Amino acid sequence: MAFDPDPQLRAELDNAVNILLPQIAGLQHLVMVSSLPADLIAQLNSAATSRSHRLDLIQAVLQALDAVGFYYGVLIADGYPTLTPVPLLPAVSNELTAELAVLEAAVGVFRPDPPVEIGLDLSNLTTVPQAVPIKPGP
Amino acid sequence: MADIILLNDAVSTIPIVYKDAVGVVVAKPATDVASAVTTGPHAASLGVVMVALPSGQAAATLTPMVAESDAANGGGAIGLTITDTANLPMEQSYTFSISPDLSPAAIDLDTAAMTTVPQAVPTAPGP
Repeated sequence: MAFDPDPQLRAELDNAVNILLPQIAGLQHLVMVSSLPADLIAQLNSAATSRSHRLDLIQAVLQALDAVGFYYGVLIADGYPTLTPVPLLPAVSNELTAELAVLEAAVGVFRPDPPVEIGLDLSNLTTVPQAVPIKPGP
Repeated sequence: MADIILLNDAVSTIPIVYKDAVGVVVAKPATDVASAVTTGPHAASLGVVMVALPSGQAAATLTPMVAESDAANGGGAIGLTITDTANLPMEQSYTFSISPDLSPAAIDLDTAAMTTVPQAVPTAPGP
């Protein structure tokens, strides 16, 4: 069975589709078969358009869920999450090692900024309780 | 730097930081060792020891040794001098005072200050 990223959402949307389809069909049927006043016909058309728009959006979400399921399957078939090491010819490996040495040499040119002063990090002051000292002070 | 108030019922630990020329916190020099001492007429009222935090960072642990050392009793303004083996100057000077912890820790009835007003004896016999 194909992977479903959100079965609960899919069931909710399927249910909404089942409510919308007869509403839209009924509204369209009324428009076609009735000899109703023009303003009422306009209202029926408006309601049918509104319901159809909602249906379109729901179907777009369902198609997106299908796409997620499909591509997740493709991803699994590709071996996800395992990443296999890439075999390398010795000559290429040696070249990469040499490149790495060059990069490390370049990085070695730089030195971290040295500290010039010392202080307290008061923003990270922590405390633990102790008994109040007996000696009064100051 | 404003005087830092320490409560007398708590031991405070403050990490030591190293800063570069533009004030950015940078790594501690590998072999550097920092130390700290309290200074001033009331230095003995505040104990200080250097500790290593779990992260490896050095920190100063400050322990109040008296119940109060602040402006209210003529004490306070206890200096803290930090030095290190690289002789870095201190970013700024720090002074501390020790004050009583006046935050409420429990609630109770002040029975000694109880007052009464008369009322009619209740008709319900009890108990």
